[in-house]
Amino acid sequence: MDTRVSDIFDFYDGELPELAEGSPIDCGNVKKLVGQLLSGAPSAAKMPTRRKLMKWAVIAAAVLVLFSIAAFAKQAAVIESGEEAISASNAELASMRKAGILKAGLLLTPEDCTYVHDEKLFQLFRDSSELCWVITYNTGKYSGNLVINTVSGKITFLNITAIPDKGEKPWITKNCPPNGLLSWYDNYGDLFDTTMTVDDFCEKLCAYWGFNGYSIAAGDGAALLVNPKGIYNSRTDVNFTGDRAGRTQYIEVNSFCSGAEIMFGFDHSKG
Amino acid sequence: MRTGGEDALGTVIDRYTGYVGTIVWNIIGSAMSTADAEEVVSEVFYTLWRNADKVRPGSLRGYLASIARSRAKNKLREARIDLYLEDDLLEEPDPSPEKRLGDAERAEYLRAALKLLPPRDRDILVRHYYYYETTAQISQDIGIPRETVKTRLKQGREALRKILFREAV
Repeated sequence: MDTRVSDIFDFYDGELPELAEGSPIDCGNVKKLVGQLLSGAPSAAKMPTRRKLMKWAVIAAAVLVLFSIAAFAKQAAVIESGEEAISASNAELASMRKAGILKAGLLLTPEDCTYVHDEKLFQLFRDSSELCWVITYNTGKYSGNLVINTVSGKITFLNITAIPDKGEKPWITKNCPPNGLLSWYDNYGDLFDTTMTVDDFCEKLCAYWGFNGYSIAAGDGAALLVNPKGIYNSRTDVNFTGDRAGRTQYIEVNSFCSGAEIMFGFDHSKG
Repeated sequence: MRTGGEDALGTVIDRYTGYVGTIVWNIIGSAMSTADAEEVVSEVFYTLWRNADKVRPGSLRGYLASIARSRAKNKLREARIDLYLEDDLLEEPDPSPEKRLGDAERAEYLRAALKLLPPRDRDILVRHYYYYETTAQISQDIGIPRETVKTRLKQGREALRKILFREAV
């Protein structure tokens, strides 16, 4: 199978070199055309005749039917297998990195996933029980669970623990009988941008989940997502407005002996 | 720009028509008229106007380039015109469905592949495959023989192939 390199570059979002500009495009004409688009008026040169309008109406109706069928088909084109769930999760994790929600370079492979199963346990975007896939993973560096909605393909719950890199200095070491000395690490930078506040994080989650607002039920929105004063950051309850108005979502950031952890998602214990 | 109103849009059009126009012309200029290209360029600015609140500060040029490419390529598709760039094809192993890369993964792997290339070679790849500049144009702009441009494109494609498709089968 042949792939066009120029099509692969549709995904390019890196630095762009200087371009030697040169084309016959006239800026004045472009302004006129943009003006027509802004006013909603069709270009005079392209004013359709009555016959053309009829033709377009028939085409539009046909397209509408096709779109309806496609929409139904898309609704039905849910995540149907564990492999699809893993692949869809990787795409969503990449979106989350791009949106600044995560820094963790977590990439799941089937070998890393110890449990991949479809469930009907959680209340998700609306107040109804919806299908989802639950994945438990351990890539070595990262471990945790995630829930991905079978129909929307959005990650609705994510828990990641990042073990510290070899040689990383412990944050706190305590004597914990009968286990002896135990160390805690503050390697939150393996997971997310540690300069983010709770508000920053909520705004990004809002955009990702498609909610139109949020309020903090417990905690301080202006505080850093990671609390540098304590090894355990208490849970922050967040009410997102939109489909889940009044329903609690939550964000939790912790440090364990095994490493730093972040957990956020829909509160299945309440929902 | 939304707050600046249509005056702000006018300023953006003044400043970026050359840039957007060149990308659009590079893609459709050999097959379509100047009027067609102007229509595409105006759609690019109209799209910007409608999505101005989504454009991150400092990313306007990249946003315009991306929309320009996509609109121009759509225009060709609508007219059922198939234009090939020089040396555009890359043989891809037929991936099993579960290993087919998603869009987000492709973007990540592309970034990774380009990082491995020396900056000058990376620029040549972006100029050719993103801006659709011909090898002759690139050769003239950066002052190296056309054959050298082609050799570097070949090396770049090989690097892309190795990274993009290494886990595809």
